[in-house]
Amino acid sequence: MKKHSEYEIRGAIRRLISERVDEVSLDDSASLLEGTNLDSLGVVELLLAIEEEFSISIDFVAVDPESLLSISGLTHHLSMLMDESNVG
Amino acid sequence: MLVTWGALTDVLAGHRPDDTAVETGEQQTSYKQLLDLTCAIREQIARSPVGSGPIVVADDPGAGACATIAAAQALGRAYVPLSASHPATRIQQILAAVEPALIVQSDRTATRMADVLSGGYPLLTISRELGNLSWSRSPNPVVNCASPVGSDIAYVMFTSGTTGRPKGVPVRTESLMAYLDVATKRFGVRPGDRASHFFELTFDLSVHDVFVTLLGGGTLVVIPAEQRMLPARFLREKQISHWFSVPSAAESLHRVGALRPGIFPHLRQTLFCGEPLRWPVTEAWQAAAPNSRIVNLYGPTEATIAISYYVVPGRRSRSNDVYGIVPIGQVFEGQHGRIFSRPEAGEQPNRGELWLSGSQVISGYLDAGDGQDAFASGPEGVAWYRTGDAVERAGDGLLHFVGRIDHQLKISGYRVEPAEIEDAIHRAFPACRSVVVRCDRGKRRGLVAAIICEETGDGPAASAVREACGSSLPSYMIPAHVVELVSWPVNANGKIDRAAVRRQLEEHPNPDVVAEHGVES
Repeated sequence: MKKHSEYEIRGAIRRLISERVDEVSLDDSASLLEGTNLDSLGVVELLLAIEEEFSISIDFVAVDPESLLSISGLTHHLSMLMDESNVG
Repeated sequence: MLVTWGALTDVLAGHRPDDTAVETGEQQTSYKQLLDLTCAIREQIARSPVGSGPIVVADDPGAGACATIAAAQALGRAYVPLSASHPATRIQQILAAVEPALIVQSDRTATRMADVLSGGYPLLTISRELGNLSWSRSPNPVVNCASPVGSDIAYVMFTSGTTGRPKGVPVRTESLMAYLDVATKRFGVRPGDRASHFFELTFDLSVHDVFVTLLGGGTLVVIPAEQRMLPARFLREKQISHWFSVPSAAESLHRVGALRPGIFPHLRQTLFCGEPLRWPVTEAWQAAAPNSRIVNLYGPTEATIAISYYVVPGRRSRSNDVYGIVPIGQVFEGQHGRIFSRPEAGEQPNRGELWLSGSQVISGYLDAGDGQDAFASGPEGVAWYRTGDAVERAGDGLLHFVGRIDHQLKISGYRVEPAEIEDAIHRAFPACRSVVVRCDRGKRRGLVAAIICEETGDGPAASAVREACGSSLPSYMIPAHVVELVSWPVNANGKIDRAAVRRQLEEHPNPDVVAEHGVES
């Protein structure tokens, strides 16, 4: 799997968000549900697009959803997932 | 079991005192602690010079809110829930509409509520450890106003109104008791059961969570707000046995592929309400929770939580899969439903608007000016509540939800009247006219405001529209997108064709759109 830096991951997430909402003035730590006005299904679609973008698979049963709700949380989680799959 | 005034405290006292009544994160509150807190709140209010009105619950779901609600019941007063996440304008509209005797908050919500609760109402604060009650603003008998909320009311919920302000729905104690009579028998909870507390207190389905669980002696497990979107981990970790949510929660889990067979082995009962429930999601949920029965509930706030139900059978048959969604089934025993159709106008007699009557149905809105058209008198002078929901009675005798007969929308189970949003936009930008629709396909999803201004191309920025909405409306009513149109599509009567507006926004990226206010620089 291609290794992405946290900087690249964050940039890609911001791009995917900006394709879906009108405004992207969003703090890295802000909740996507409150900061973007995506509803829960909108956030779910965003998460699926992120999975596709990085060709990774998030375990939605095991993951704490709170860690997927902010740009910083998502960046951290994705970078961890990629590290794991590179080791394996 | 028929529960009467004050009896909830007796029921609490009858449960095993050391069993957990409410669990919020790491905090567990036993039935004894909950009863002690309820009695303390009741005593504090009973010996204070407060007015005769309802008790406002300005708290997040949890033991403090449950005790306040139980205390209100014991005192024979209605409760009115407020959400700290709602804008100050809306909260003040609600306070002015109900004229409460006092507000009860917890010190968890105190800082968030501080700015908006600046009115003169007495304010009682429950400490974090639930042991201590203190007046943050003492009662002043001189300023007590009469409340329009009568002594026969159990709670008042506010829902989106077509008049540009929230609409108060006062539910009578008699109606709540009628609902609980059915719900505790058919969907009851027992000691040892672990029931979800999914709904915010401002959503009337939360009344079911609180009452049905506490009456039955089970444990009410509060789901944190950030877990609601994808609740799989919560369900498993907390070993939930009784789940109740809007179908959206299951829909999200299904969409991400999380409803793997057998992942919810502890689940024994699942209730869904508030939105159409799709069959594919239901079947995936059943596979994920093989030990759970699934019940689809239906009911507007005006008919007290839910008034019809359908127990999903093991196998779906052709007859109950008419619309790809699960039937809403049959109206509760003792309540009445009829389908209003006009065969003389060529309408099928088995398809039309659902009208409801019976002890669960409200007799009118808090403000009599609201929803004059919502009530109709039928044969034999019976008063009927017109739901605005189009239903069909299929060959199997079951009711199927077909759609709305008006423009009302649903966002995660919350009712949204586009007129209320359009009014907020018009007040902020008097030169603009807007139409708000819900888009489910294409690039723009969720609530979209289409705008036409006197000067084409001179429309307000999306951020300005969203800000204007956010100052008076709850977050689920703020449009996700704002699009400026050149002209409205109209129907044969010359009226704006909302369905065509929606199609235009869904299907064409930029048809007659002169300016789409996208990313702000």
